[in-house]
Amino acid sequence: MSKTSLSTRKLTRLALLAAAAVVLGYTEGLLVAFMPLPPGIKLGLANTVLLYSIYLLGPGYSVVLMLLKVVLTGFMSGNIFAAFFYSMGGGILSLTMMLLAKKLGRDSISIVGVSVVGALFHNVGQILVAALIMNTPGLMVYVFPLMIAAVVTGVITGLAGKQVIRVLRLPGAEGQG
Amino acid sequence: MNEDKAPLMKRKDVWIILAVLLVAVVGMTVVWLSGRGANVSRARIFLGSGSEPYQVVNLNEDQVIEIDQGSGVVNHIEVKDGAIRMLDSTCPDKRCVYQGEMSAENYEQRAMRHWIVCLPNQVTIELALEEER
Repeated sequence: MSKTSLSTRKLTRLALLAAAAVVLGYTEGLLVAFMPLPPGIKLGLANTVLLYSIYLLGPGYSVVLMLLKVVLTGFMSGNIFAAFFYSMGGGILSLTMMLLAKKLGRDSISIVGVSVVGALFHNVGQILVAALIMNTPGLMVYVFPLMIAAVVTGVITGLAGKQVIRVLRLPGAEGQG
Repeated sequence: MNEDKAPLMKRKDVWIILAVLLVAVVGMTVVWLSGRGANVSRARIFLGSGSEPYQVVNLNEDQVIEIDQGSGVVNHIEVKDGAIRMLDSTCPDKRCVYQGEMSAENYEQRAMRHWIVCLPNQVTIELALEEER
């Protein structure tokens, strides 16, 4: 297999995953408007896409995907400035820690553990940015309830991600035609 | 590929989950123990990144405060019977409104404790927890 065809396929997947991340994030945003949930708590479907990309595309493409998602979602929301920094803070911290967990835990941490780590640091990153932007360090008391939420949503999205990857890997998996 | 037969999670996944839950429970307990039964008679409203309150509200005076930050960014805060809440907001998600009311009676049980936050409009309400002497 030539190198070009491989990167073309990766590029196509990147574009698809970016579109999926934006649409999932937008849809989830609409749903949240009808659910009386405390701030910061959501399933995080857009971030599951990042989870897939870590396993399907590798670290480099995942960083690009995260930046694409943050910028595109920022343009779609009415409040570009604030939304951009919250999701950027959550995105960078969450992706870094997921890549780290996957690397360190090579055979002993599955996608479920990586997903929980991602959800956890997405929440921590966002509340850190919120506390910084609004200059209210006292807000950090909220980080502990958010940790419990992250375990719940992280396990759900991790188990879902496991199934998705199992299916997505079959056709055109790396090393296959 | 035998992933169908693979266990739901691996051992270290469970460790991660237990560790996060442990830290969360310890953290929540510490937060809960500190500042229990405080004297609450005032609340502070902050706008944007200002470290000085935009307004300090006496919880014993029923009122509705309008905060108009221009370009269609408006929040209404209601003080009634010693409790304070976000009455309405022009933000897209209304999570600040869903956070409900907070008062001396209920702040220890609230997830966000003595805070009501509207992230999009950058309006923060903090109950002033004062030591009882």
